[in-house]
Amino acid sequence: MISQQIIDEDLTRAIVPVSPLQQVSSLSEKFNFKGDRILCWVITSPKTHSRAQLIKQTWGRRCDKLLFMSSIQDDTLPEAIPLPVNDTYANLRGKTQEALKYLYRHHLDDADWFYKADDDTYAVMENMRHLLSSFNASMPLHLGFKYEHPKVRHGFMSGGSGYVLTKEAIRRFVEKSQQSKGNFTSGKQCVLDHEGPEDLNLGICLEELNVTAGDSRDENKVERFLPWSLEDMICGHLKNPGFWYLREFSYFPLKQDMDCCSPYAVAFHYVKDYQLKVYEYLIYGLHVVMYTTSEQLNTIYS
Amino acid sequence: MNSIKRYVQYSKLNLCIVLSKGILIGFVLGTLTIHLFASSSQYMSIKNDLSQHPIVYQTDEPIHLKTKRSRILCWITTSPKTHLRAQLIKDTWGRRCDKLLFMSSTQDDTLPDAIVLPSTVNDTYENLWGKTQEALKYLYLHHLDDAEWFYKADDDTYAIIENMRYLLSEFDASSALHLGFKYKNPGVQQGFMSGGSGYVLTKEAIARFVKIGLPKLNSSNISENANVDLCVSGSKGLEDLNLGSCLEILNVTAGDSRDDNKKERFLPLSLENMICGHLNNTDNNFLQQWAFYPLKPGIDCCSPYAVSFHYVEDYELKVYEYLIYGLRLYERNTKS
Repeated sequence: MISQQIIDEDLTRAIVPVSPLQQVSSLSEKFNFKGDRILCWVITSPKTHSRAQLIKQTWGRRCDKLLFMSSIQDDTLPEAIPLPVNDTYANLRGKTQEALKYLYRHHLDDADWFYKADDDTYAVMENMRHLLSSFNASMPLHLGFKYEHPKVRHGFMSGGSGYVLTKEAIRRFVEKSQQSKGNFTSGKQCVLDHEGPEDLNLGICLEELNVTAGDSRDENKVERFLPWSLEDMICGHLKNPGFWYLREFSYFPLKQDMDCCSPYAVAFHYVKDYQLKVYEYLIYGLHVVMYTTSEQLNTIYS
Repeated sequence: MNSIKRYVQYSKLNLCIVLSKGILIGFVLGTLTIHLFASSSQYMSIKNDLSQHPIVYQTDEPIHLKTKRSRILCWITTSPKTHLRAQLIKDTWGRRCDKLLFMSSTQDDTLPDAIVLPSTVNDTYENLWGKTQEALKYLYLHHLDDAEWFYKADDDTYAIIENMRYLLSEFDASSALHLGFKYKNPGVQQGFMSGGSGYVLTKEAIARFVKIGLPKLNSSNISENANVDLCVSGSKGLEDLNLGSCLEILNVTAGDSRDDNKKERFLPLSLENMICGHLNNTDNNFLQQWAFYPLKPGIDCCSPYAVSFHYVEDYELKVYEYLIYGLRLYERNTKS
């Protein structure tokens, strides 16, 4: 970690990293709350493989496994999985379903948690592990930013900031979709064609399958998955005094201004292209030097 | 005998005087130290838990800092159209300055306390040099005793004041000094500081500019060097270049503000352009060509102890505030 690299040999002005980390061999050992591995699958498309590259260079390398769900093979992006879909926004639902099928067939044993993101998402994996450590990976579970909707009693997760599924959630979805070949149960809402709002439909299907829609807010009830740009999350109430979808349809009451967003936020959305590198620098590269006394430092370390 | 007595009495008195002087000095130093210790408590607002953003703590403030004052006065140039940004600066990084002033051309409801400089010039980019002269004159007349360091910024700048203090602790506040992102220029051998990412002046630098530099600019008296103004006259021209050129003539040092790894701390272009300098555009090309020190590529462009960012506009100021001060990285403390 960056903080370890800045240990100053000069003892009269020791710059002391606040939380020294042991040298460990793998990421999951390093953050081993319960040995939980996270597989990140990022939805991308041939036109935006450059964003996928930037994710590889930034937050993606903090996942235990990283896959890109695209529609073509790409020599410069070996992690890209060519799914059998047309690459349009309308077909996002189809892409998600194909991706889940693919994960089920090939990667279900590679991880305990499966985090889906877009290629304009920036995730903070340390905080993700911290969040997930308070849930049980063997349960059927769905986590993300929750929207309310008449068709989904317990809410559905916004696709924008990404969501996390457990192994069991994926298993139930794919096995059921294989059985029913189109209909889950008679006359039900969950549909398996390729068009329509991806996140709403997934939420409907998962609710039918008794997959729990968990609460991912922090201990102060502040959201950790942030589906709109940070500027909108913080100042949206000023920019949108009238109708604002986020405010009207968020499942939990939304707080304003700097209170909108947890200090332990897990994912940001609409971070496009080179902004990914800017976030990487501001979150991991930058340090703020504050003076303190030895006594205070002892209490931090103890 | 008497003289010896007198001598002994005299030396006893001397001793007494010396002793009491010593006690007095000790008392004064003691109170000063306590006062400074107390004022350093502004740095001790840290969350005492396992979850931290990479905040680096420097223990046992260096002795020389304890006995010297290092107040920073921030003066922001703004304009009526962008008073909202001024308000946002007040709400975010501006409140970490020891003193915060806004220089504009009017006061209004959004910014009722804006300092309106003598409007000998119109509020345009071309007249920025004129505005800067007025601003420095104003600071000299009214605020020179309010701080040791004077940091000028635009209203689309985001500064990290803690890192600024860390940087400034390396320098002598009583010297004639100018700090910022250094550009090279054939007319200014020691280089000049970019106006964009802001720059810092010491008290002495401002004093020299106003007392010696300015009169030559504005007065009708002719100096010994008859036809030559010490500094660029009038209100037009490149503000940062003109200032740098003037300060060089006045023997104000253009310091090196890079960190121990020679990475820049004042960042004149948007972070996106700084980090992705390979992007081919006029700003990046200019920077590559005219930076005083060789620029490092990629994420090395920018010091971990960066002091200011530029082109952070409007609500983005709050985004930076959140990402830098609000967000925490949860790291498991392996000591436990």
